[in-house]
Amino acid sequence: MRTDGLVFANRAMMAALQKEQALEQVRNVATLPGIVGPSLAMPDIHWGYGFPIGGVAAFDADEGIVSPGGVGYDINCGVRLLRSNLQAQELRPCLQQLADALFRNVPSGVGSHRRDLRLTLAQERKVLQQGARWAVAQGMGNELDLQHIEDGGCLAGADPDLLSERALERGRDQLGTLGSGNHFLEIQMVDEIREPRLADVLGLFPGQVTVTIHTGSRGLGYQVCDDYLRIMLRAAARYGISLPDRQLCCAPLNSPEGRQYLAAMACAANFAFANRQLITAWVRESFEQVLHQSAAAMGLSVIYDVCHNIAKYEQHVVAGVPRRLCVHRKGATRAFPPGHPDVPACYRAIGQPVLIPGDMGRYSYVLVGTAAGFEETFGSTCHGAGRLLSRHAAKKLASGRRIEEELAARGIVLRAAGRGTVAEEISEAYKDVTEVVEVVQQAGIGRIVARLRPLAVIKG
Amino acid sequence: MLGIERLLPEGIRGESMNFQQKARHIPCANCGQHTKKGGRAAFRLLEHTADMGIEAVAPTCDELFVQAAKALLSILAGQGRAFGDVQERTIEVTAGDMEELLVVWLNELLFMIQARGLWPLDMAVVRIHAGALEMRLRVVPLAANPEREIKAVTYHHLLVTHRHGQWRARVYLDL
Repeated sequence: MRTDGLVFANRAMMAALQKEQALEQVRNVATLPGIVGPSLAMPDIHWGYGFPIGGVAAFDADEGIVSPGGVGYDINCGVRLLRSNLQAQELRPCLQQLADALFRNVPSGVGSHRRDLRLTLAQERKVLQQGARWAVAQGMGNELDLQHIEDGGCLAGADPDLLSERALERGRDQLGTLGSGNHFLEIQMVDEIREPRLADVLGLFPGQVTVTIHTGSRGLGYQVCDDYLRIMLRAAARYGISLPDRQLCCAPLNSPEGRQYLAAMACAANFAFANRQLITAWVRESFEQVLHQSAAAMGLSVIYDVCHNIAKYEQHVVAGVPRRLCVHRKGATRAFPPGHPDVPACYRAIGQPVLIPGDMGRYSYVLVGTAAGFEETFGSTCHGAGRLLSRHAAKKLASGRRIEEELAARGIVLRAAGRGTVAEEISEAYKDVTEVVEVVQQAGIGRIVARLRPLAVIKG
Repeated sequence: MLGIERLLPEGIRGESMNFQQKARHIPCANCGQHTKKGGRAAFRLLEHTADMGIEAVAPTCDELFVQAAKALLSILAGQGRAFGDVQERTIEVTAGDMEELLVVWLNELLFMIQARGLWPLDMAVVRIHAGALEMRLRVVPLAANPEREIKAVTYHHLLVTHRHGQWRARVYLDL
């Protein structure tokens, strides 16, 4: 090991972690060349492949490496939160109808897509270069949306020529799709405000309707990751990097392979930004169809959009020295502090909004980044509740139960493309997100602003 | 089901099939011919907190690659529908060693199913050695996609061993 591992967790979480291989993965990451500071894990840490899920690691721009496995297959999987002017009780009478409209308008589940969206190769290349900006240029959103997305919804340096034909093929049909598994679309209400002053800046108020979108770069991202893992397996051998797990294969940041991966990764990240932007447009369309008001009149606007599988160059101060680092976040969210230039001007006084979805039956949280987090975790925090049970164990627990009815009894409407997915995604399969964000708050690496409760859940 | 629209022409319903059952009953020209020597060919699914692993054992390397494929297919759960004529396909892949070859093969198979919508009815190894695999398959177009998406086959904790006359493979998937 070249450095320490540092895991943010409470006692019960640590006990659960000992039973799986996540801690070994934290240790493996600590062996990679050029790592700066500790190999970090956020409180939603669980066993991943290569890096742990919830893992954060920063690498020196000159001495360090970049690892596709440290970003993951679903490049720029992320979360977007929309606000509205609506009160939850206004929505109650038409909630079923709205859930149906969202389920109809936003393709979810394996293989689904909108018939009215067909990309030519030339258009797809533009998506990869421009990200959410491409969608806005097509009339799917506005300039204000772009200001409220991490990196403005477009990573620089994207080069579509570095993607395989296969990656482009897989992407073409999948732009504007939610996907399956843990991806979801949720109508929520603001259940509790912890910090009224901060909530006010974010435009949140009690009882308010919000919408969360959780999806990523779909098959295009998976293919980019797989293609570059094969390249990195050769590169690691060539550059004499020894690997405790092949999934950690990597290349120096300043090598041709390292630079090419980052340019290809940026394409996939931009695809994901465009994906969430298109889905936003269809969420607005669905609300308009059901409530017969314009999206603008309903105040449906983007609060923020965060990546949680990404590697990016950032400036950090380590032991008093400013350094340019490539920060890998694998199932972790950037959480920049108040005053940071990369935080949109409207939020700069309070810090970057951080969106933490929980499971489909309980809560989600809105936090902001802190100065302490910027120092201790390279401005990173958790990304969700983190899985507790395997899919098999979750299915066993769900067997014989009517999950849809259980949720309905708690006032939650469910629309799902697949029954199996619902069983695997039951609340009990996840840690209680409240415990996770409490650890974040106590450790000072994030500040809780508001709690959201699901009203309607669309699962792929 | 929006997924059907991609593949199914108007008015065709297709033949209903259970993916899990289909996967378990894939005939394999290479399988079974060595069982007289006492070798066992089988697979099982491994627990993982967020994802899933597969483990396969077989008396020959050929069978190992087929068993691993069957394990992968059994995870693509749900009720599918096939339509159209059975077609022949050959998958050829190369890799640096046997372990990498297994991952590349399974990812290639996934691509054929998830991106091209073709379901394998049977498969047979034409040739295999450390750096290359050629697999011949008979496939049928799918009218509906499997319910579960597998993002990719990973290199995490990857293992292919040959000890005491038995081949063993372990591989984890990102779901």
